[in-house]
Amino acid sequence: MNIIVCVKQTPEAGRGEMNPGTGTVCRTGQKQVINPFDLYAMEAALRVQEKEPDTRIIAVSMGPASAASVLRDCIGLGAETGYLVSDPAFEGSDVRGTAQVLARAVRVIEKREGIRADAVFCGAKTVDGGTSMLGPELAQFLGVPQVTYALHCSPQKTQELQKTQEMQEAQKLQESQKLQGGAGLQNMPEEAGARGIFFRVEKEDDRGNRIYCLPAPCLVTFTKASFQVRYPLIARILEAESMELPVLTAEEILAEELPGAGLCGDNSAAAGPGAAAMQVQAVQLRKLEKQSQIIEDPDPVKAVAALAQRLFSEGIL
Amino acid sequence: MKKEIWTYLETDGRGELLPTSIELLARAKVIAAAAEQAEEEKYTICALLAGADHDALQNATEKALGAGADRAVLIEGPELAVYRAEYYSDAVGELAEKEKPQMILFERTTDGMDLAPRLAARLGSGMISDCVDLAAEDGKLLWIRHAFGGTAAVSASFREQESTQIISIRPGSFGGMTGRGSEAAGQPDTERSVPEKDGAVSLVNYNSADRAGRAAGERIAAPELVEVLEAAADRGMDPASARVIVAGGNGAGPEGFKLIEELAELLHGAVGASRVAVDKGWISHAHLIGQSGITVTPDLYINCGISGSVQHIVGMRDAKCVVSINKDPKALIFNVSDYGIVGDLHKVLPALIAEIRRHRG
Ligand SMILES: Cc1cc2nc3c(=O)[nH]c(=O)nc-3n(C[C@H](O)[C@H](O)[C@H](O)COP(=O)(O)OP(=O)(O)OC[C@H]3O[C@@H](n4cnc5c(N)ncnc54)[C@H](O)[C@@H]3O)c2cc1C
Repeated sequence: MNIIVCVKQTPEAGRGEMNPGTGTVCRTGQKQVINPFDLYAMEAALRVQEKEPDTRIIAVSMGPASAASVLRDCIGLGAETGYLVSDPAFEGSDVRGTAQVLARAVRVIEKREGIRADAVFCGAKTVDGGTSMLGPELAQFLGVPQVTYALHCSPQKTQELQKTQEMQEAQKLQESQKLQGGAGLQNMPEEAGARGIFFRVEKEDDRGNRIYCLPAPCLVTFTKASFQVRYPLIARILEAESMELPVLTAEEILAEELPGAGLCGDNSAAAGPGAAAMQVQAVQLRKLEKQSQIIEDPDPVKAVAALAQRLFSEGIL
Repeated sequence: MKKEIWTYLETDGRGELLPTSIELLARAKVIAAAAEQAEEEKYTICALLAGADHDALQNATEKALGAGADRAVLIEGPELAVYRAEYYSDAVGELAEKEKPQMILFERTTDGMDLAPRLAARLGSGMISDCVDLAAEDGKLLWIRHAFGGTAAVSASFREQESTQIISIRPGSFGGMTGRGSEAAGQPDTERSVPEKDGAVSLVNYNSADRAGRAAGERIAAPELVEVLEAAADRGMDPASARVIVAGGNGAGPEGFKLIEELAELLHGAVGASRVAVDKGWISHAHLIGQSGITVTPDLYINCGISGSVQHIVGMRDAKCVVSINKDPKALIFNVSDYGIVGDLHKVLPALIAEIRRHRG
């Protein structure tokens, strides 16, 4: 099995510092780390590898040269290598441009490594832009099915595995909820899952978490789960330091056709600000300071009386 | 481009619109008014509904026309029985390519977040997600969203007027155009009588196999829903658009949440929670405030036993008044609070509940 994990370098505190003149994000002066959600994507890939030991995990990141550090983080955690997608022409790309570049990068990596990616894993959102758009856009450009905001994802070799009690229950559920039509596993498209690889994915959902059977090739985005993500191995970190990481430039990326995105209206858009769908007019730091009044009184009744009096007098309560 | 605003509406499966969808129709009106002013053109609001159950769709259509839609488009097909991004983006995308609406609006719900970006890519369109407000400038609409954990406001416009624009809207936000906060934007006029106009409703049948350009036998790969797990305790009202929220964290425990629920009820508010409280199963994910949950902007946010991690703060820092109860005087949450009490929530909350009851007589 082959998994490509997309990661991004983001400011540690998730806070924005702007270049006052240009309104663009200023990357200097703030510690840059791997986007925390991406660590859950990396962890999920490692958990798949625990079940399927011959799984290859390859990280990819689009960004400036400094983004190599988050790829090295991934290698420290257990990725085999990391591709840096970096070119001045890509600077200022919006989500659409980034998704199109990454989709092509996936194809280039497949060629270079002589593999087919069975799954692409990403964080569900980034802590800087926070749009949650990249995963589904990338899935569409790659022409693969998706599950977003996943907590867990485990491999299931054949569809047979699915035809267990779980499936009977699913059928019962469908009957009880009157979910007719294309909902049954028996309706699984033949081409989908032709590789015989499926993932059992749990998606976090307000209405009760959903369990999906997702055929490879596919894309999954991950949110924060209740487990701790693992720490990198010191030996691997040291190894990663001295590894040379492959860099994909605009020339190689843009030469790649995207047949999987045949459904997309505009398959020709390149990246960079010129190709962006959105024109950013202004970025303003927001005033967020509070004048805090903190009441410390060993007697909770007195403390509450003091608080309540202020809240009542200001009409808040 | 047709000067139409499509609103992607969600139902409970039996033909009732979800409250978020009714809100979305109300927002569409604010947006239409702004667009009409900026472009001096008349906009039509169109309800967009997809599914497999004809009667349920019809029922929801009536509701949508009553709640402010000028017309409705129904997409019906067996593959749309359960929501799946792959089929829904294909079905909506195919229709949007034909009809060319100027905008399609989504509420930032679980399905909305999953579908809207995939549809945008399907159409090759631009998208702006999680909008909190809009403004008009030089005959153009400026969409405003927060970034960098709410520390920055970004305003952006679509560069391409000749493709459908995809916009997702943060629940409980919006209304800056009217200058009166979200109440103004959030009131649907459910009173309106359903127009009997001909052609107000159009029905489209969808079957992925019928698509021109798709090779025979080629089907769309999609995940299969095999199970819906039971959600943890749902503690009443949805916090997304509540005016008062009482939230609990790791310091609260199941016992603390009983007090939190009691106070929320007393204040006609909703219950909120930190990630730890959700992960420990004390409360369902629908109540999660923060980076991996929702962002809320109530008038009053009372929190108990929450330390104030960046991931939590980004979800509540825009509350008008923040009151924190924490036994640790150094807790970070106090830095983003208007008022705070240092103390044990198990003692402070009963005292606060009693004090409010006493005050009200
Ligand atoms: C990718 C990612 C996404 C995340 N998303 C979110 C999110 O959306 N929302 C979120 O909340 N977190 C999120 N987190 C988790 C976040 O980092 C913190 O772990 C979490 O917010 C801490 O929850 P807490 O404040 O309830 O618990 P703790 O940090 O354990 O704090 C408990 C607090 O309770 C106080 N306390 C204990 N007992 C009492 C008592 N008897 N009376 C009064 N006070 C008491 C303590 O002093 C302490 O301050 C995310 C993390 C990651 C990595």
